[in-house]
Amino acid sequence: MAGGVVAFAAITTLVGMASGASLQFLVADLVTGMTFVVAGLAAVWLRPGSPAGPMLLVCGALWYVGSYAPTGQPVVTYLGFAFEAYYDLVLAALLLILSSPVQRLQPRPLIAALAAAMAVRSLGRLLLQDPVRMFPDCADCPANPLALWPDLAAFETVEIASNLAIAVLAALAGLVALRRLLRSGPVWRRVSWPILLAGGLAMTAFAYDAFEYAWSTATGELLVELAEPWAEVFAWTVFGLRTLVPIGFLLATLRLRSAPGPLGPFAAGLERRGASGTVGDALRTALGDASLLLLRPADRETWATEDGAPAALPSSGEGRAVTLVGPNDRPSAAIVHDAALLEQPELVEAVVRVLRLALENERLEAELREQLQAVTESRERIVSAAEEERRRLERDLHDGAQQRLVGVMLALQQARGTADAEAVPAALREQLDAAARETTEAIRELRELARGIHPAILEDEGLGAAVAALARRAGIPVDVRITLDGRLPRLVESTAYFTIAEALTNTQRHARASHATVRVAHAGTKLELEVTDDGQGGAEPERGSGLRGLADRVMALGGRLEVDSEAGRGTRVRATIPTP
Amino acid sequence: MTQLRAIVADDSLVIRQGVARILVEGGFRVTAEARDASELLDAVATEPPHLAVVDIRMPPGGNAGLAAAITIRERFPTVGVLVLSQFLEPEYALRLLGAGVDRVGYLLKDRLGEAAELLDAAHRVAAGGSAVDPAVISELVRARRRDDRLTRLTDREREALGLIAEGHSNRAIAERLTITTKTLEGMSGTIFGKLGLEDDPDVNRRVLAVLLYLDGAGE
Repeated sequence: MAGGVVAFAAITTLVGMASGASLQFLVADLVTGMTFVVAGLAAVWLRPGSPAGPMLLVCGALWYVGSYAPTGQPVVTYLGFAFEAYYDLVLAALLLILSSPVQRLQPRPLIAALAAAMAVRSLGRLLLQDPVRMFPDCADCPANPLALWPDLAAFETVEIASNLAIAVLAALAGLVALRRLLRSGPVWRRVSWPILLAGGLAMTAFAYDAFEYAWSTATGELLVELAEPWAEVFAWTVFGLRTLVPIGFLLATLRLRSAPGPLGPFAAGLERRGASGTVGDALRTALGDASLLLLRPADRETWATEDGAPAALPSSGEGRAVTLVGPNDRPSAAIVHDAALLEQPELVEAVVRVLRLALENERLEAELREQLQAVTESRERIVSAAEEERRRLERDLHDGAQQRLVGVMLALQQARGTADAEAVPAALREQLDAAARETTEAIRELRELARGIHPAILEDEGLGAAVAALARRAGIPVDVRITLDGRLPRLVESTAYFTIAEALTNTQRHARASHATVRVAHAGTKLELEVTDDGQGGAEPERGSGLRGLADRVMALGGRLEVDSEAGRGTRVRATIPTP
Repeated sequence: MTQLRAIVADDSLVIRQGVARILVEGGFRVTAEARDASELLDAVATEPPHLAVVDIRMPPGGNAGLAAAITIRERFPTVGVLVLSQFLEPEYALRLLGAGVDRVGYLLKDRLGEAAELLDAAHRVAAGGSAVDPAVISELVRARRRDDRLTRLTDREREALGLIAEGHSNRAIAERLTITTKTLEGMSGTIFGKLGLEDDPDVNRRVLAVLLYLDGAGE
């Protein structure tokens, strides 16, 4: 094909040389056409699946058709003149294909109308025109041997009407492409801007040429009358811009490699959803169907639109079709779309497949979020229940068992008094004394046990007093720096308390520290606490179950706990607990 | 000498009666028993006793007994208040004492096994003095151990300091340490000197100074 085009170009050049065209014109003409050929070849080589390569090559061939116009050979002249500029039609089609996210020729009616207008112009020039009107200075132009119905008035009417139509339709093609670019997402926009640049240039030239024909036919004057050297400058500028068109299209085609087919932009659209559009928007763009509706199952029988409004699932027919996503008995979505899309089953299927994945992903994500929420809530409930249990236990120990033991002790004490008064064996007195001592010990042990479970002072006096009491009982000096304004929620206080208690216990048991510091501060919506010591460090929170359990408790309240214990540099336990 | 009147407040009947019995045996006349904080306050208002023995935990809930005891100290300064507690928390004792140590005591319930200890504390409080449980004092002392001024005391001096803080009279302390009152006075001068405190001939003020010192106030 490329060989044919090159041969075609060579013949054209030779014919042009023979008919005495200027060398400048020949070179410019040759270069422009060849640029199309080279760009086309490059596109075919680098992007074999794309329609761009063959279409650019066709453009190259069609380019030279117009070059036959001023040759002096009657038939060739008129054929060349009648069929000039068809490469612009091909470029319009290529622009509409490349600018479409699905890489299909859309809208087809626009290209059909443009082709029709081109055909009408060709027929008018071929069959109605005689003598030549398009070259006002061509006094000796040959007669048109193909003019079956020479009619100058009819020719001029057809010429003006068809050219105006071409100008409008070409501009429209450019605007469609521009609109697509503006409405597309950032990914597609980044990929596709060279298409618009090249296509816009081509469509501007296309529309301008056609309008120029209509104008000069109607008025007998050129649209832009420039004095030399400006006419020359203008001509070369136009030439330069024209050579940019095939290069621009080539560049655009190469960039499209990074977004092959419609699925790339579609997937990108799905990722973007929420930020700049819905799944429906992504679908509408990918399938090129603005009327498309995405329905989601609301429950077993009914459907809802993307806005959540209830909707009935329409049956296929009357130009609409329904495609279900997911298993037919339990679809995850339904797409109501233009029946015309059924002619592109692979496209629809591919899009649906991606959509199914996306929806499935969405469903799993929602499920996971729900589960996580449930787990978070239940974890907090568990911690809260455990805390409640500890407090109840502590109360029961103090108010129940301990009170009874005190009662027993009083009874023993009374018995001892009676024994003193009566003449009883000394052994009995000693047994009573022993029983009283045991009971006293039991009461003391119970007191320590209850305090370990949940200190009453924490509930009565708050975190500050409870931590001060902890520090007082510690085996090493502990500095306590507490900045608290009033009481905090029970669960926060107890979690903070037990964290500090465990950290201080570890410090005394393992750290060989001589000093520790406890800092507690309520800053805004969180309680921050820190226990540091000057011990040997090297604590491993993963191994010690105490701190591990506390980290769990802190996390259950939405906070976090960190242990920093480099060997030789002391240990620092830090926790942050949000305060509602 | 009129017989000392006492009120016993505890929600446990066994303990109430047990304490009342010990008090009666010790020469008190128990004029009323109360099961909760409001009964206690009513009884004290009706006939202010020399001594109210109050359980720290009572209905309606929490440490209502401690709160009632503090209220009595504020409203009826002539009534001695001895709080019986199951908590070895100096915090509570210091809250009860507030700014003064006259007519007040904080005793752990495990002392009830020794009638003599309860009676000793009861008499001290009723007589206008103070009685702080030795376990509470030793916890305070333990916490202050890092203070090098406290380490300058000899064991015997530290023992004397504890007894002073508990609220014992000079005579009682001297008896316990089996020394003369005169020797004790000299010793207490040394102790106060080592701690940087001013010795005060008034027993209550002296107890307060020691307690405040032990609690770390004024640092």
